[in-house]
Amino acid sequence: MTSPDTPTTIEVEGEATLRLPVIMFLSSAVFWLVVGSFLGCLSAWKLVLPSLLDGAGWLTYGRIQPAAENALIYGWASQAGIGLGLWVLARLGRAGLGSERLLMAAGLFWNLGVLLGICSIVAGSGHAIRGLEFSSASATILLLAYACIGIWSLVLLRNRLKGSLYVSQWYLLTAFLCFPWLYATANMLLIWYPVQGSAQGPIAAWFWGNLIWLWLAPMVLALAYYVIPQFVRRPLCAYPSSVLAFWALVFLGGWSGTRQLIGGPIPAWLASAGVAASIMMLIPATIVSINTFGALSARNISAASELSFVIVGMACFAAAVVQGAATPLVSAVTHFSDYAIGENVLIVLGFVTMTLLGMISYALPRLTSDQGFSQKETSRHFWSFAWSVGTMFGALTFGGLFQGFALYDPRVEFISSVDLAMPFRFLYAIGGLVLLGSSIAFAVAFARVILTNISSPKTVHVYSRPQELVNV
Amino acid sequence: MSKLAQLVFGVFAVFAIAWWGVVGYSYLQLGRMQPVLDENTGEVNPPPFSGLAAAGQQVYAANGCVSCHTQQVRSGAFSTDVEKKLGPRPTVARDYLRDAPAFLGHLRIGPDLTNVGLRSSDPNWFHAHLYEPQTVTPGSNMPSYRYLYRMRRIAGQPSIEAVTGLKGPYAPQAGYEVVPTEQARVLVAYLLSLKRNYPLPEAEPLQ
Repeated sequence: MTSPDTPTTIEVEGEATLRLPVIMFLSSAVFWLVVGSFLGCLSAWKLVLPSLLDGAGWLTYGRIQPAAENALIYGWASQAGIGLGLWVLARLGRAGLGSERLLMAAGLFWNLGVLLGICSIVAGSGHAIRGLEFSSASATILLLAYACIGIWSLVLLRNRLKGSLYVSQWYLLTAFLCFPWLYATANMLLIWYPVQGSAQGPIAAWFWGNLIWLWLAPMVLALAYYVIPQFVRRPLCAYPSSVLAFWALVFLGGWSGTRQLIGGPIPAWLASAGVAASIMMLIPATIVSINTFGALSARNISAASELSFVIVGMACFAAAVVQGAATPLVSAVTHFSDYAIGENVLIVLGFVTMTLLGMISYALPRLTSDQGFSQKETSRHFWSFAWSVGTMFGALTFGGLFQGFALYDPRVEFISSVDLAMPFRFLYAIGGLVLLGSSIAFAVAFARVILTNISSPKTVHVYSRPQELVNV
Repeated sequence: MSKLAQLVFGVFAVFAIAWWGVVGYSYLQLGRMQPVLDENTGEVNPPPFSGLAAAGQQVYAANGCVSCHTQQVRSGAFSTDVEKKLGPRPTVARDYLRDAPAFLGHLRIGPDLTNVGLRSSDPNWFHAHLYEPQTVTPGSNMPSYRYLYRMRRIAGQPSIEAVTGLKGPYAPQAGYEVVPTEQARVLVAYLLSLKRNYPLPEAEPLQ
């Protein structure tokens, strides 16, 4: 066993089998990040300049916007999470794959599903349910591909070297188990054999809430729980309490979705359950924050590094939970306003994307035996992403409040809410442009590292695992 | 049981609780709601969609109208929807019984459309608005849906379907007319059908 302070370079058979699949998942994820940012930027500009490219159906806002959202969720965040998640499972368990080819084929198949799905939305055969816009054929491809991807998470966990399971492994297992269940349920009941309209609202809200809190969030939390102790070379703070946080998050995450329908055409208890779950989520989020932030010290955060991404990501996680818990206070004004888009920006771009970017920057040198990004590059990536996400979130949140008051006040005409939101939407669109630039810069730097190292020997750096730092 | 098996079982169980509570409940209760007969008028509520309106629903879905428009009049302390006259009463689950899919929406970038058929019954108004929104509603940030219309030279008599009163840069020149495609026709039929002002046992319209 190596001491925490002296990382060694040794060849690990198991982890090496993941090298190519993980590189493939990350490369395609970064590609979809660029596509998603481009479509997102375009839709943001269309919001302020409605006559921009308005002559063709496939470029209309109502198709570009869901295309962007789906590209970011299924193309970028899901794939980056899958790749990094499997990699972390292999590292924590010192296990490998039986067949890297099967996983790579499944990954390509997943990308095919995303590509066809995006095309189906743009072509006008998408379904108008959030997160389920992909055509039935693409959704089927995603599920089939997932079956061949997700199974490896169980294989890696089963073949792990040590008996105990680290908190990252719990979260990853949760994500990998829940995704097929919730995606299949939602497609089955809303798309393939749709239930009657009266039941669709709560099921769609449940799906969207679960997609965030039981698929994306646990994957990203697992990565943060893994990488923070690696960076700071000391154990998580108050590690035993993370068990409580874990179960609470899985339980409450499942219920939180219906708060989107507060006051809506569903039984009041369903919406109340969602609000109550969102409030109670403060408890696990507090524990997660203590676990992760408590491990940091001033020394670790003095310069912008991969860790800065993760720190900002975790801060956004905490902020998103606080926003969710504040629902009953602000909902009357914010419910259908741009503030609600801001909530999604905070989660999908702030929490999920920032953490994943940091984790990719961290994984890159360990996957390629290259130095990865230089300190200067990482710092530039960090500030440009942080600036753009912050601008987008801030503009939507403040603009949403003005717009929301106009929407709420019975004396105000609807059109005033558009006028009030407009300057903030302009700022949001500028943020979107910077996000697109940041994504392209990140993708170029990523491609440079991958292309110059794709043929390097399969030697990987193995640092001591968090279990070795923490007495579990 | 191994540690891994315990964890798998635990996650399944915890996930299943919310799955059953939200999805199972919705499926079994809300999913089996029935239309009701209004004994005063002899009508069945909510009324069924016409064939055109049902087709228009798919055009509404395909063009992502739901990205900007809600279709729900909320009740309770969290909303002023009824005071804002979005409808004569809050909508309830039964209102969406025949919707496929139910376009509840989540943003009001544009106005709520639950009762848009009550606000105007003139198909030409809808066509002109879809064709070039800013000329009908100044300051609107709705994009144009010109691609659902065809501009053509008038051959003989002008079409009775031709959209009248168009202004702005895309208005037809003399000798030309703008006619809706099948998609625009059914979309407007759908929008005109959006009237949730009928009484339901659980939601009587306010006087």
